[in-house]
Amino acid sequence: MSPTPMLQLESLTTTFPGERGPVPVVDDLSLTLTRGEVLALVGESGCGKSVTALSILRLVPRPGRIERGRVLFGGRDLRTLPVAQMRAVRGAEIAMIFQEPMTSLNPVLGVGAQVVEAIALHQPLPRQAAWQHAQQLLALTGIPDPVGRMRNYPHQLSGGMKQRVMIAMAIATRPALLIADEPTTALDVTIQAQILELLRELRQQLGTAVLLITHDLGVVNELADRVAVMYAGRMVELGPREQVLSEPRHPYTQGLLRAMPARARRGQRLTEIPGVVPAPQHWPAGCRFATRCPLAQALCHEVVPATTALSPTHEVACHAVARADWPMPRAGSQRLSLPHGPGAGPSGPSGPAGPAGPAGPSRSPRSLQQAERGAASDARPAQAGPAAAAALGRETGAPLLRVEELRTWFPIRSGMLQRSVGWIKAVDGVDLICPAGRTVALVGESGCGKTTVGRSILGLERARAGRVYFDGVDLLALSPRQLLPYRRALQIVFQDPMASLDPRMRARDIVAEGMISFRIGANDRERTERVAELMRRVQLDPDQMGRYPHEFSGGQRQRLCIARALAVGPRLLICDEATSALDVSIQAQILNLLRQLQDELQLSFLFITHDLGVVRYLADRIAVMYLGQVVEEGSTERIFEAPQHPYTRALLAAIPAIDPARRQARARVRGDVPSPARPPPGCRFHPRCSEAQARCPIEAPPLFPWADGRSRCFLAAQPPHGGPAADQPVRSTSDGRGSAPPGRTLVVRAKLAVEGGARPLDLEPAGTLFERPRKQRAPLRLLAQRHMNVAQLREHLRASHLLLAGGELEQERA
Amino acid sequence: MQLWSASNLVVAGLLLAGLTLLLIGRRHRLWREVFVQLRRRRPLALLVVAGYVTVALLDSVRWVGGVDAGGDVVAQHEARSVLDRLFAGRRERSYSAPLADREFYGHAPLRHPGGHLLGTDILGRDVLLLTLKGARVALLIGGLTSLIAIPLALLFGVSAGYWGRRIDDGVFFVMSTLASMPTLLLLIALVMVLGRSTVAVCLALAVTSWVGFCRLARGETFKLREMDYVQAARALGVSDLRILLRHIVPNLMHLVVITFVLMFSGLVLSEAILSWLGLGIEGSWGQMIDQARDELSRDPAIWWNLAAAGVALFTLLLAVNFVGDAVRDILDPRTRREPT
Repeated sequence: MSPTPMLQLESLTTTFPGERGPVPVVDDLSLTLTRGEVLALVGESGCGKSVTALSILRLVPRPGRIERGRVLFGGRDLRTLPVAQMRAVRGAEIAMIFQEPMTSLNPVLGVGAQVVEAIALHQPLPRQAAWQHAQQLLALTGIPDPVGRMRNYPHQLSGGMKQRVMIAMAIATRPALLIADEPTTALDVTIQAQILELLRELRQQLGTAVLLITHDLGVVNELADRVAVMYAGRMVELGPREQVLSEPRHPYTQGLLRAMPARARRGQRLTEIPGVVPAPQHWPAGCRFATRCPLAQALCHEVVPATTALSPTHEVACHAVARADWPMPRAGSQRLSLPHGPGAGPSGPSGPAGPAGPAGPSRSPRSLQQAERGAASDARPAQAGPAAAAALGRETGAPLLRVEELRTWFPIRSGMLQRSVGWIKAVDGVDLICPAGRTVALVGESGCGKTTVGRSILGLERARAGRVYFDGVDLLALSPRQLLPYRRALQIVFQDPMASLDPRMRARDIVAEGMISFRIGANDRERTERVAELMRRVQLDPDQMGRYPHEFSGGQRQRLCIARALAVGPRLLICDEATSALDVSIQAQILNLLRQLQDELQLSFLFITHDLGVVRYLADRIAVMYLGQVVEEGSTERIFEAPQHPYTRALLAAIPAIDPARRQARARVRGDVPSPARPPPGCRFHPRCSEAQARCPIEAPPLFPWADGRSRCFLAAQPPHGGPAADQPVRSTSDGRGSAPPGRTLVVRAKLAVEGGARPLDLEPAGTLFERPRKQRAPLRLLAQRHMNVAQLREHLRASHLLLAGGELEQERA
Repeated sequence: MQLWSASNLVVAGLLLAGLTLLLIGRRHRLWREVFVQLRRRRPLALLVVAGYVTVALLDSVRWVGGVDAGGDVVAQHEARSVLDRLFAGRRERSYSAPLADREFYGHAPLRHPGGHLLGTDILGRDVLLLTLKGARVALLIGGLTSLIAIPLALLFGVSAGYWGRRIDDGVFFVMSTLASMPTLLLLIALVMVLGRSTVAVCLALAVTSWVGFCRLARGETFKLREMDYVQAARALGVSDLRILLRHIVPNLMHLVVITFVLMFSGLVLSEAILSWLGLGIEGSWGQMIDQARDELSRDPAIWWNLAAAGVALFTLLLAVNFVGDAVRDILDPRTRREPT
């Protein structure tokens, strides 16, 4: 460690008033930061990380106040500095980057003006010079075309770009210290990798020290030199990155690392930390982690552990570490037995929560479910169809759900009459298969349409074309009334548990809602019993069924959402980012619960997420989406070990490493995802692809079979001569070789189904371009690309319901 | 049936409804909390509002007879309220200043020297009585109009927001049409057409005042419709009507309460303006103020008439606004207590 600390916190204590006196949200925190160093402040939400940062800048929101301690920065105590001087420190010497770049920029000012303002506040420069300096800063942060971007408004920039602008503003005055509060949390993996790279470069170029606040241990590994772990307002462990991540000594740090799904092996139960971080007014007296700690003894609940120095640089605040005679399992052993159930008092789960679940309780709900399924079909013969088919499907192992050529477009309306002037092709030809009892993950960055796929399958969003077969029945072809029985079989769990629970309904009514609409349970008493049963199943205390959602913790709310979905006995559960909003330890609890439910109820999951760590742990198969299309699909092992599509490879490369021995997150793609309103022609990924060829911008690749799945990349295509005759593209026969000059197309005439005037006529089913006709119902001219022959095209159009019953397709000229 | 007995029935119904609501409210934690918090935060305002309501009720219970009319046949068959009876036989011949013992003009001795707290008007009527009777009219305007306007706005706003498309277009067309006309002119025209009865004035006020809340309810429904819990309900096969009744409308209730309170004061003021234009309801404060206008220009000026009506109006609106502010704060989920 370098000897001169630049920033030194000495027993910093920040309090917020509580009902019984002030509550220390940051309690007795001491740490130092040297010049050019990156210190990561890690912990779950509600541990006081952000308040620490705000305390340094003296920006703690009222009614909070800094109670005790000193904040020494360059020899001055920032706590006692006059307000005017403090203002000069903020921004000039200490700058901050916030989590949400969308709300941190003023939407009515151009970004250039905002960067100039940041400069002008601390450096009196002539306007012209400031403007040029701002351009240099933007260029430094890697924004393409900084001169042009200066005049743009925030809404014209993507999230990653906005974060670059924020960074440019923060480094405008070359601050000695940069506080980055969750700088990449709101960003996609590939953008996160770009920002992490940028921060690394800036630190090398400018020698700025960084206080990095994050909950993501991967980001910590990629960027930090030292790590400070916080729990409930106190620092529990501090040390060099390699040591803390590879040999954590505090039980909380150990728990955090083990709860990470990316570190666990598939099929293995995640080691969870029981309970939740308590609210500050309920922080226990002794060691604050004692209520959730597997090693806790009587002493822990009474005495605050002192900090033990394991080495000059590594300190831990734990009784178990301080004393050699502590009865504890060896640190680092995987078989650390953690108690399940109510460790954390009233908020903890108290149902049967063993890893495998004892035979008794696990069987009864299933029989209950079967009985009630039978009862339902007795009562309403119309429901016997899907139920019987369900039993059949499960036995034969046929795919439970098959999605073909799904398209969901949203109109862009404008003008006085709100005519649609274009389409946002959120989902544009997605194929997907979910086998019964398995987990399929749909992966992609934000805006790729993965959520819309889930919602379209459920009929929450109306698909424009395609088929969704559930047990062999096309759900999209059903009327709302016919669809009703299938609603039982398909359920969804959303990302934000708070938003997905009606704040004015009690837990019982929330869970019972679906039962009422499907007439499950004869009366209220029976339904209440079943709600209790379900609550136990998701490890919630049935005594809490009278509570309102805001009285539950985040993890408990998500359990409630799962219970609501399970209440109607679904067979496929669509989890739309179901664990993304949760802290690591809570995420582990929910993932374990989902696995357990899958085993017990033979549930199938369609897991929609951007978190590849979770995917690797949970999924059997993966489908990667990009701009409304599935670009690669295959088994989890193969995708992670041998990704074929360049986008998949870029996505995987961007994941921060969790192995402290290496840092791997590399930004392999540049730029941002294009707008789905105007997807690039040809292969949609080609503008960002490092391996794009001449044909990529012109032809759209179909899904080629590849290994144990499929890939939408020409690199995965078999050589043209190799395939059987029927597969020979029409164009390729004309010049005898597979490499026709790009842009030559097959022109055919077809009579297509055109419903109403609003029907878009620039459909692009797998590489087919339609010419816009002058009159409706007029024959369309199709420009098919050469990987399709006439027969294939005809088949394709029929299957997409685009070809009228009497419609024909004939080749006009080759 | 006579008008006065209908009025008694309405009072009885209101009392019954109030009692039922109170009983239901006691069982719901949220509303109980609202009441407890209200009593803690704004005891005075609550007391004032309760006082006005009591006075209005006392003025609504009426019957015939029981008063010595002194041979006046018309007066004998007049239905008098409890309030009227309390002030029976206290009429003077002309103006009296507050607590005076002689007439204001001419200095003739009064029948009840020193008995008129707020003096009398030109016809010798006790101003205190007139002021108290105004409370009934004010509450009637505020209450009845809100009762017409809010459900109407809720119905239109929620359907427009939930189903969108054509329904939304239709509702929005009506709203824009109404909003594009000058409110006061529309109000005057409606009163001219509908007549000057209490109900007609309330109806006119309702037509001109529902647009604001309708827009609010529509926007809020747009937001709620996309909430995950509504989506989850749809995925669970819950019918539209049930979603509206269980998820959308309950989550609009706080807006309804706040709108009611804010609308109330606006309506009472509107009526005062109508009265000033000579189109108001008989016996309202607005009318008192209107009549007192000319009296101010006499020499010496007759000021108590205007002052009494003005202060009564001001106090009621202030109290209602205080209560409304408090209710809004209490119902705001951000100020509600967090999970423990």
